[in-house]
Amino acid sequence: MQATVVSWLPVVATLLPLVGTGCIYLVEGRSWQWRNGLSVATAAIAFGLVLAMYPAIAAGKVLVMEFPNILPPLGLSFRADPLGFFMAATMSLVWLMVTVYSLAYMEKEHHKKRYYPFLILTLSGSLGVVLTGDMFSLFLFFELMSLTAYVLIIHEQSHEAMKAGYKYLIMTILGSLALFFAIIAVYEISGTLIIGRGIIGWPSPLALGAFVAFLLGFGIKAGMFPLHVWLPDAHPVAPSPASALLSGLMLKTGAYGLIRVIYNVYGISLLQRTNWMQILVWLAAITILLGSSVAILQDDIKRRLAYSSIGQMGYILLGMGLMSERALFGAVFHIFGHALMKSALFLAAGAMIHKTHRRSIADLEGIGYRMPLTLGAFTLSALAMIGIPPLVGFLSKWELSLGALDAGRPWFVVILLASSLMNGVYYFPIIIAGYFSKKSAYADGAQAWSMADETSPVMLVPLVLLAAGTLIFAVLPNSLPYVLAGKSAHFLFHLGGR
Amino acid sequence: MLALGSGYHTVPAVVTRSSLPLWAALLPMAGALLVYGAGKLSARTRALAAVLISLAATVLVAIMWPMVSRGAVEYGLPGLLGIGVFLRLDLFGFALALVAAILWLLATIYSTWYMENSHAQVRYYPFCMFTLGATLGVFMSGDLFTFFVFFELMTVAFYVLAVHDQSQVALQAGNTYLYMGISGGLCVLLGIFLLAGATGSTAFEPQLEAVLAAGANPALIAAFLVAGFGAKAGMVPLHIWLPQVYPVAPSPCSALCSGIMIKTGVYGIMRVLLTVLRPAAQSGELWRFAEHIGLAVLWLGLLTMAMGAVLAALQNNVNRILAYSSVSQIGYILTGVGAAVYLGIEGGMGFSGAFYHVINHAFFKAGLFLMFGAVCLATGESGLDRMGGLARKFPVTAAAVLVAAAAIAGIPAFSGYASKTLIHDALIEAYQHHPTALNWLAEKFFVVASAGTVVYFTRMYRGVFLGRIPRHLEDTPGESWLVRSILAVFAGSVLAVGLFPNFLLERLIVPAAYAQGFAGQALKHLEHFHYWEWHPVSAILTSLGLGIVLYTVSAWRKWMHLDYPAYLSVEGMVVLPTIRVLDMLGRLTARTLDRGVDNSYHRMASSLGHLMERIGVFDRALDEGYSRVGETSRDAVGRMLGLEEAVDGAYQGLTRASMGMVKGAGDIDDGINRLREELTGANKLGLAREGRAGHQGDDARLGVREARWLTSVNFSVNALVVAIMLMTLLFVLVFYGVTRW
Repeated sequence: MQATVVSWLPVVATLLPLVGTGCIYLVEGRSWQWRNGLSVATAAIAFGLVLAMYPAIAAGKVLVMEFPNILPPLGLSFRADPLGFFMAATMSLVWLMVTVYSLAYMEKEHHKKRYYPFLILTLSGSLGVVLTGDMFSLFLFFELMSLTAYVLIIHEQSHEAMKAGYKYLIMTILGSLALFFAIIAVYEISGTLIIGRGIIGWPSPLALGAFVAFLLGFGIKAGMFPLHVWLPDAHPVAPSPASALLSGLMLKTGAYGLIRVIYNVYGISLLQRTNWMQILVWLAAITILLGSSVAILQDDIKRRLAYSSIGQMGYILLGMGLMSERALFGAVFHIFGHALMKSALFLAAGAMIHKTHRRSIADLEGIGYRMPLTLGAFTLSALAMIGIPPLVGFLSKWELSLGALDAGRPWFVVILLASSLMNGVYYFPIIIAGYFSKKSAYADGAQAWSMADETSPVMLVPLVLLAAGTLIFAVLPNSLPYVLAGKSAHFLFHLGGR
Repeated sequence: MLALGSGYHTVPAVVTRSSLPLWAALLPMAGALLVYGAGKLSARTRALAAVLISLAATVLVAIMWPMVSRGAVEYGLPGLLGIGVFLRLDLFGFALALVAAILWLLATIYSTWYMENSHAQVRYYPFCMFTLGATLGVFMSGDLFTFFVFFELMTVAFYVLAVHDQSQVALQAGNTYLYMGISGGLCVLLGIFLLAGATGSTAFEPQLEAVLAAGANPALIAAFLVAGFGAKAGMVPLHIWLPQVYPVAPSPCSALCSGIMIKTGVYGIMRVLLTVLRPAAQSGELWRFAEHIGLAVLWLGLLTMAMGAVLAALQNNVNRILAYSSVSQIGYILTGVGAAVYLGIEGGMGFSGAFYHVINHAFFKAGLFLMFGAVCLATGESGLDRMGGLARKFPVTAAAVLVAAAAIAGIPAFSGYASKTLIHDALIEAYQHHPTALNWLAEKFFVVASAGTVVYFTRMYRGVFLGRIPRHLEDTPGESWLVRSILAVFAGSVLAVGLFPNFLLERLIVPAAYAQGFAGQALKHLEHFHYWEWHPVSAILTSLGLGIVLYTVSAWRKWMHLDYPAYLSVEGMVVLPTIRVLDMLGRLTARTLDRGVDNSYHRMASSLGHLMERIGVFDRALDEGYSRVGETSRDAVGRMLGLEEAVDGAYQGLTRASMGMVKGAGDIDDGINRLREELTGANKLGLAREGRAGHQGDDARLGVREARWLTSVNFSVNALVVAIMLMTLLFVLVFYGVTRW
């Protein structure tokens, strides 16, 4: 059992962006400099606050803070264990990068007054999801995040955006209802919602019903087949930084919720006795094949990335569903790796679209002559996605596959590797056409291979940093994310909750 | 194990810990950045930096010789890349790493001439250096994980060199290379997963017992690894990328790819089959497993050898001939590997032959690519039918090609002979140990397939260097001194090895074989191998004779100019149908699982919408029904009221009448008349009242309609206040109720 320490840090880290939202809203009428500065500062301080938890986490402690008197009888509770901390750190880091990127990307956009407060408000919701200590509080922040993300998705307010947003909203509400049912059912069964070590004692029809409802509720957010349909519509219409957050981080909250459900609400001992996990595992396998194969057919670059996300979420769902520590380790590490890779890819794609106003892959031929660094970052992240060593994607593929073998399921290794090949088939053409195509108008121009057309440094630095992260965090010996992912998996697998 | 060796060849297993292998691999990789930076100064500086870095890498590898000759060099970096990187250099890996570094140095020097007027040198030199680092890393890896990391890096980095030309053809060839490379890599990875999943280790040490103990299937692991590495090595039928890439890649890149990089595949197969999937025990039933695998690899090798030779003879493009020739030579090496695996602990001859041929082929094939590259660059031609008589323009090149061709054909006194003889001897040994028809056939097959080499090289040499110079090539410039000296180095090395074949054999190859765990009579025989006896020479002469006859016949019948239909190729038979099927599957998935699911949701939503509409209609109908029923009943009530009043009036009239009757008991006739009048009046009154009551009913109905104030139009603050108060009350009740109980 791990020692728990009462600490305000998870509370402050979650609520600071909430306060920040209000401040941004108040100052943005006066000056845009203050608004931009405050947005970045809020994200940065949130990141700093999350990092401040590290010493306690490294010492093997769990940070908790409970407010039983708010919203009785359930109360509100905050908690940071290795997994929660790891997720929160990943989120706030990527959020900081994306906020900086937004400054340049959104410069000429409309409705900035709406964009920034909601960007930071969503951060609060996302951090809340991973830093809460019971399913009810998790649900509250999950709702906050889901609903505020709607505003980011429909930012363009075009016909397609409204349509996609409507789809997102309906599915989100359906998911919330399912979650609500599941949470009530769990409360009915066990009388508590605390994230502990398997709070449901024995299998029952109601428990199975709640499990399926959890799968529905979190699966919709995670883009699990057959609930993924909102994802390829919503990602391309949102502004690129929002798509990066949506795909890189918010999908992960669904996966995070399911990890909590599997390892903390139901517990492995219960799930090992039943074969309920087969539902998740097979859905995940279909999700992988579906996302990867449909991505090949897409011509819109952001749509292709969106389908790629579906496939990659399948990896994560598979890893957590296989019930082996190694696979769980792979899944948790892939949550981190995919957050870096996919947000870098979306930011790079956004930079290209921002510059050329073209989003069809056929039109982006020869983009490497104009934006070598942007495409370079894209290439690095795409190689990581395919799983080329020594990048983060390779490490998660390695652990996931060995985990699948540990679980005695070699066919899933074949599915993972087939998906890797498909990743190659849909990423390589973009890179090859971008760097090597001679048909492009820019190939022989005076501007070729110059930095003149490169995107502004405010956008370039975050996306290059994220892409470099896919290399650095993999190569560094005992890199922090790798160690933390291992710790989280160990904690979930052997120590459960508190 | 090592004690089984005898005399001075026994290698004392002293393991030295040194970081030199790491630096040798990292220096060129980091050097890539340096070369890029040097390019900012000038193109000459860039080329010079590249040459210096490859020289430094060569030196770094070479100075490890004293350590390697004593045992092995090891360096571990636990925690790097999560799993931990482990480098280990023994004689086998060292020799290949050194060959790689030397060839890279020569090819880089050659590049300074070849690439002088090329575009995109900014990209060429850094990636050339990076690939060198990755390749060195492959040969210095100590386990399969590290091996795979460098192997993939090399695959991806070389892509940039392969498509250097950036033409449409080059990009297509590059795609074939890339997808074959990635698929091969994934195949290797699957094999590694199965191995690591079973034993938990990817180290280069005998693991067969552990694999079997874990219940895994070693044949499956071997199949995946051989297929994956075979795709890199150019094993039939996975060779299709070689003839596509070599004609479009710059010559130095083709030389390096053919000379070194495809050998990484062979090296992988050798490490896996001769080290990892081997029993740790010296003898036992487990060696039977090695026999089956060995036989399969041996025949794959023979098939590759024959197919490569036949296809090479049918080509017109010089680079394509060399590509198929590489395939064919890889076949020789695989045959040797197969024989070594097949014979188990006695397989020293096959191992030595394969190892020796890897080194020899690296030199003469890389040399040939550079030689023909020089000719092709100068003339701008690469088709045999458009060249000829160039020996006069390129005398040194022509002589060097002759030397290299003699080596590749296996003519005694040239280097190819030294290794091919060993492979041939290994096949004879296999037959001696297991005298089966198949093994007898293998040896004959080898001799016949070797004849093919003579055919295509004679054809190529005649086509390029002999005959008359075509008119359009008369102004071709001659060869430069730089190229001459490099080609001379290659020809010299071929001759040196060919004339003194025992030198390398005794100092390098036999000790490496002992270190690999081979023992027995074959190795003793190898320690003092007699190259110049009639027995080994005769087999080669048979091949040569056959080859000359075959060439004469086929040149006479013009077999080599035939065009064969495209559907007969591997691409036509396997690759295109596979791609088509996969594409169909992808589209099917998109249609059913993606769009299909989405559409079904839409349909569900719209049918729900319809349902809602119906409910709405029903609701309105119900509402109307209620109001109609209300109106009707109100009407009825009004009528009832009127009737009642009428009856009341009638009663009153009746009462008054009876009172009048009682009061006026006068004249009966008059009374009767009056009574009749009274009754008539009462009746009229009743009717009039009834009519008035009906009007009043209408008014009441209107009043009711006006009084329906609880609608959204009439929504008022009062209602809200009442509602909020009610809800608060409810909440308070529930709250206290819940907390109290």
